[in-house]
Amino acid sequence: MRFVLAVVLVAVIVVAIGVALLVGMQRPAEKIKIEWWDEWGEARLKWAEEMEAAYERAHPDVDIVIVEFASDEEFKTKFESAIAAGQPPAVFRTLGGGILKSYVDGGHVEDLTALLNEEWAVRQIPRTMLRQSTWNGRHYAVPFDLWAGHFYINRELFERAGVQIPPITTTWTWDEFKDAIRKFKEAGIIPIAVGGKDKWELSFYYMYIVDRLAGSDAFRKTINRAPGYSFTDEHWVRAGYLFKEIVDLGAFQEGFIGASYDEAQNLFFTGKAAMWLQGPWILGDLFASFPDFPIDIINFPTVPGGKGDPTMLLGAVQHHYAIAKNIPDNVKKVAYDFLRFICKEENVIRYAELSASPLAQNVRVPTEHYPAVLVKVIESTSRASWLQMAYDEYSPPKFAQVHLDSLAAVAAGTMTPEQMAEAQERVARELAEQGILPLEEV
Amino acid sequence: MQNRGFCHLRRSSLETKLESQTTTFFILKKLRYFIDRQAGLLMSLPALIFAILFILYPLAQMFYLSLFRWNFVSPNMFFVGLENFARMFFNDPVYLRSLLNVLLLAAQSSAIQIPIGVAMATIIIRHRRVGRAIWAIIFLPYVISSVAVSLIWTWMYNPYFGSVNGFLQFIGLGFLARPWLSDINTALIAIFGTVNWIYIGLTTTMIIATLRSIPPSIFESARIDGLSGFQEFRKITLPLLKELIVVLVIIDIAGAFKFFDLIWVMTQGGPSDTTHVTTTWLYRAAFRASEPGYGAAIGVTIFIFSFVIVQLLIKFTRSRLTR
Repeated sequence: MRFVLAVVLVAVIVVAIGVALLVGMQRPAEKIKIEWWDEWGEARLKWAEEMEAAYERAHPDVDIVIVEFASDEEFKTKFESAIAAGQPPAVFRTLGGGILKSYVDGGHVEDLTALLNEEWAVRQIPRTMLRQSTWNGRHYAVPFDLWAGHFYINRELFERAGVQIPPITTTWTWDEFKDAIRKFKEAGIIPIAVGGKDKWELSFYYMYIVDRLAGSDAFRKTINRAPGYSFTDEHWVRAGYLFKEIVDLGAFQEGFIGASYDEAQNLFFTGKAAMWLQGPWILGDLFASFPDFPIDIINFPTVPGGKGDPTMLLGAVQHHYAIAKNIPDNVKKVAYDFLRFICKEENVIRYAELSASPLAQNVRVPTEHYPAVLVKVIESTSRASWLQMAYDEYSPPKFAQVHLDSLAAVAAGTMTPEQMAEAQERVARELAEQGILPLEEV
Repeated sequence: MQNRGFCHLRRSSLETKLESQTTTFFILKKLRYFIDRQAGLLMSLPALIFAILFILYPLAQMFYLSLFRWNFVSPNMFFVGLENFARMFFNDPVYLRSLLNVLLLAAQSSAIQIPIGVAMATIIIRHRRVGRAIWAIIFLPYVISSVAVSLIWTWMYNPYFGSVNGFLQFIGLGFLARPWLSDINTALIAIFGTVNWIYIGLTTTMIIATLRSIPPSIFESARIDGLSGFQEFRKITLPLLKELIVVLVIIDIAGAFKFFDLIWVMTQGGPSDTTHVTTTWLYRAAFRASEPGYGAAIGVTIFIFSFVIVQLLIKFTRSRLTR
């Protein structure tokens, strides 16, 4: 009896597995599925849903699947796993730079040169905006929007502390900047909020100081191993000391090293901190909670003896969309068509309206669709002599990590600026030996 | 012993004779005998396939990957031998620090949670009514999702809005107030505080369960023999708890090696990489710096360390407990 039972059980299990496999493999002829991956955020997700609905209405045989990720980190991890598993999403967002380059080198990204040379694209997408996604003359992504780093300020707190607001068209000196920090402290206001836990916010300061000191070529030449450039050059070390100077002055809130982006945001939004060095992405959340916030933007100060052009801004093309290379041809065809669709002028304008971000495409957005401060950001961006892409996005991930980690260590006082400079040079050399650097000819 | 298989067959000698006369029958019998003997194996096959697919294969993959330099997406993997391991022990102070932190975490968990757990358990057993309330309160943190706990404590440690500094000021210890998670001298301690807050309830519960299983007659006779409260604890309670304590220490060590979420949410290993444990450093190396080979190498060391330590402890426990 038990024997029979055993045989029956085994048979049942085998049949069950078999049926499961058969059911799993036998999918009925389906719609063409286009997965669309991005770290959306509320405002841009709304845009994506509108695009999905509109496209599916026009193409009933296509199913657009919007996949959302909570953070850039999660996106990156899942995306790389999907690539490794041979199941990449058809359309995905990228920030360009070193990370996209590594995907391109791995043969995972569709060459979009032909698409971007179509007549509408030549008209609508300025070639300068393709800088972060072009290698060897081939384009790999369609740029959508820009970001630029400014000090976002609370006008009310500036008035209360008696600090003059330097107009956006001019700049202020390092001494004026330090003076302002002291005045804020005397008035019991946190001069600057910063989320040091994620480290990239700290990097903003370092990048600005380097550019103010040595000009906009310094980073690109040094990381791409141009002869005569090294991370141990004097201005790299000096930038570390200038950063340390404002840390020691108490410019940032207490415990800023371990504070998250949310904690910094909280300090600034609730009027405890006067300044926050950020990109325009903060505005969506700000106006959602504090529509009457006395917001304004000012420039990063110049530094004594600096050679850099003070109109330079930290910033870059931010969101691009790209197509995966290793997907079935029929899916790819639809993916191309879908990219063309979301680039239609009215769709791009809708993107600008919803995301409240400056566009990387030649599409005129009526200014009444933008909040006043954003118009200011856009004007300031158009005046900029150079947009410096964030180091951690431009460079290979390993360099990015060393850069961020050692800067945080300098802020915490466990590393000297000299040691930081050496650490950066060491990893850059290593990456050059491995053939990962240079990223481009300089 | 003859009937090792799943099913017991009874045959008369006549039957056996008849069977062996026809070859078909003979083969069938053989087959039946085979299935009979292998039934155990056959039935565990689904579970075995699962284990091989999802435990052994990834493990082998990890060992393999640890010998390469790769960036997840490149078609080229460079074989580097043991370079990743050399780098870990000779060229990566953060890794060594993270190992130290794991040991500290395990040691402090045992040293703090077990004594407090024993004390709590004794109180709870002695005072039934109040005890039940205390038990419920200290067990509560363990039931909350650890990410939620981490977020709650991150805000409690916040120097501007946090209740920890507020409380210190309230009781007149304002000079102790500081940005707990941002100060390289206190971040680890602050994390340990949260860890203990979560797990003391569980430790206490396990100790209560063990103490409850001791027959009360033992304590009664001890009292009749005139043992004081402390003597009773030392001579009876503690020896009876010995086995559980060893188990708890093993759990603490194994737990320290796989600890991740709380630290990742609270500090991400910062400030200045002082609060990394091996798992968070692995994650950072593999997924943030995109070096899966190095991450896998860290994984291999975690595997070896925890394997060896747990084996040693099990051996130790056996020899001690069977004595």
